[in-house]
Amino acid sequence: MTAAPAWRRFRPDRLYTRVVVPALIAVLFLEWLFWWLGVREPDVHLPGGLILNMTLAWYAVVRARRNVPYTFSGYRAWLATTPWTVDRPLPFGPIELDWPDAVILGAFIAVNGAFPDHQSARLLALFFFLHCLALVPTIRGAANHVPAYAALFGLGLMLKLWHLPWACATTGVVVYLIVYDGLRLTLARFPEPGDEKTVNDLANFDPAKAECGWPYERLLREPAGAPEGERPPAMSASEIAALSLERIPMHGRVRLVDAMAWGLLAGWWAACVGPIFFAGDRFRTLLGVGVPALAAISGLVRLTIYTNSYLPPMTMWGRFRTLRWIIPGYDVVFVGPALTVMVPTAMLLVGVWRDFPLEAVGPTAIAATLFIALAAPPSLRRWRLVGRHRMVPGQPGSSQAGEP
Amino acid sequence: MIELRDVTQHYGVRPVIRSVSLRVERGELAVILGPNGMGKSTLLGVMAGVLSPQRGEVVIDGLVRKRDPDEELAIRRRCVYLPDNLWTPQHLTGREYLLAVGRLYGVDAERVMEHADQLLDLFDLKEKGESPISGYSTGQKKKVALCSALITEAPILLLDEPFSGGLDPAGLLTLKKVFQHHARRKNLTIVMTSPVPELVEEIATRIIILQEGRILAEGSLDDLQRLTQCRGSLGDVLERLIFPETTRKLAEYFQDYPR
Repeated sequence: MTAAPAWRRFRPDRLYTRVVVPALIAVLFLEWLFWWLGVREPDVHLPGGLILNMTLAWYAVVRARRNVPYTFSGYRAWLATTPWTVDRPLPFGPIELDWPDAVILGAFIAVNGAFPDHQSARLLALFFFLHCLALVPTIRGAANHVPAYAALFGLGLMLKLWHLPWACATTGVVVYLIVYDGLRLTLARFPEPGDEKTVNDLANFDPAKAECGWPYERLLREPAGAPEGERPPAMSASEIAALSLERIPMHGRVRLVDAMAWGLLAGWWAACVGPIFFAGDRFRTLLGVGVPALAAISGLVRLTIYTNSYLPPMTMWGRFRTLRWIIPGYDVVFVGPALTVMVPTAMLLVGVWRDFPLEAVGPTAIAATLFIALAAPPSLRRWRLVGRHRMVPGQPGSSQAGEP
Repeated sequence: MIELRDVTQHYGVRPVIRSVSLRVERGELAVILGPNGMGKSTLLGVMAGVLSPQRGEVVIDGLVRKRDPDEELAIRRRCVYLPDNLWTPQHLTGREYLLAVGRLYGVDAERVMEHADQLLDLFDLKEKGESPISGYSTGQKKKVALCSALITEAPILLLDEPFSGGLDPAGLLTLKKVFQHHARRKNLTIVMTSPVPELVEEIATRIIILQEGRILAEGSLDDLQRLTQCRGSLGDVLERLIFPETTRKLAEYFQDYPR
């Protein structure tokens, strides 16, 4: 297959002509106007700088969404019917940054040069930060967790290095390479790992042994003898395609490694972002007050999710009357929230007592909070299936009790 | 050649396609006809591989669909599926879109450019072809989608309701002639669905009539006329086959209608 000439890829796209170019012209005009009027106050550069940064932010996010099959279900469904494979270029343009993007970024940097005390690296850092952040859900959605988490850690580091523009921009480039690797992995799995499973299932499928009933997708042993019911509404081909591609089983289970990664990320981002907004003692005070509060809120949220529609098998009065003050099968639901509150608070107290730096202890406690809230047993799935509770009919949660 | 062997497809418990076996030979222009909701698009989706039938298999040119990755890719290179509401990249121009699709199917670069020009000219999109698809009318979008199937030069075309979607009379005529030519002269296998018999009557070499997920009847127009003992149009034949009750009720209604 012959690739299109490079120059053809840089055509007057609406993305550039309708937004980027007018914005850059507007910035240049504003700067020229103030220079011509002889206004020299530093504040006059604020509107131009704002337009420039906001346009760049918009471009970074839109560029991350464009041409990605995972962003557009229609594109994804269509591509899945074609002979496309990952070793060939995507038909409607690359998802990775290309030289036309370099031209656009160059234009932003050139216009930025009109500002006094301009910092080109800051613009690059902003672009890479938002571009990579917008691409992370795509990668993680395709079950490529390692590059997604690595990119999120890198993005946190970028925030930490925000005051060092070149270091921040360089980190941005490294993060972009991680994200790019994740995208390649994602596309290599195209159309879906689940589809391969379907094919294998199909090969091993024995209608005679298939179950009937729950879940509804299972087959009848004799399809021809299916009960006459309401005919499903006619589906369009695109719906059919989407149905085929997007039937990814959702078990609502948080894996231990994911809980750990999310916990570490929460702590890492708190350590990176906190000092930017709250300097010195203010950050330490915030951690001292905020961590126990966050732990309490997390515990409450977990308890609410678990106990919504899943009540104790007997009332409090019943417990007192029958002297069954503790019902292990139900009361296990309180262990997770209790740990969520107690462990981070204890960590904070020990840290203060042993005179450890609060800047390190606080984020660690935040990491522990999220980890325990997500990973403490029992899992939501186990609780809903085998917990010794009383399901309240008609509540939203109870209908999911039998979910596999 | 497309062969369906005992295909059953469910969305839920109730099958939409029930034990359908079918064989479409090379160079045939087969039209799947039937009322709404009878499984036409589903059957085409099964042929196209966007659905995995719960029972049975689809064989295309001797290759079994969804059995082996390499086999599946080989089928995809030979077979183009056009759903009735195809996604198109709104930011690309019609020409760019066609060139991209042609290249994806491995058509020679020079040939694809030449063919894109011819197709755009044929469907009155020569000028519009230079502007982004987002500015196209519904009919023009349908035309460019049809062009995208034709530019692949794939030997098998699976088209879901190609004549619907706002095509103008010139577009309908062009499409009919192109399909007829490609099937007769270029030996292309074309399978399409249509709810309207009049549009496909003169071009179909085989008509497959679906009802309740089963093949009610199939064959050429002559075969179906013999079957129903009706020398009328395909519409009349369908009336006898699918809606005998409707015909009877209409006759009764007109008879009893007061002057």
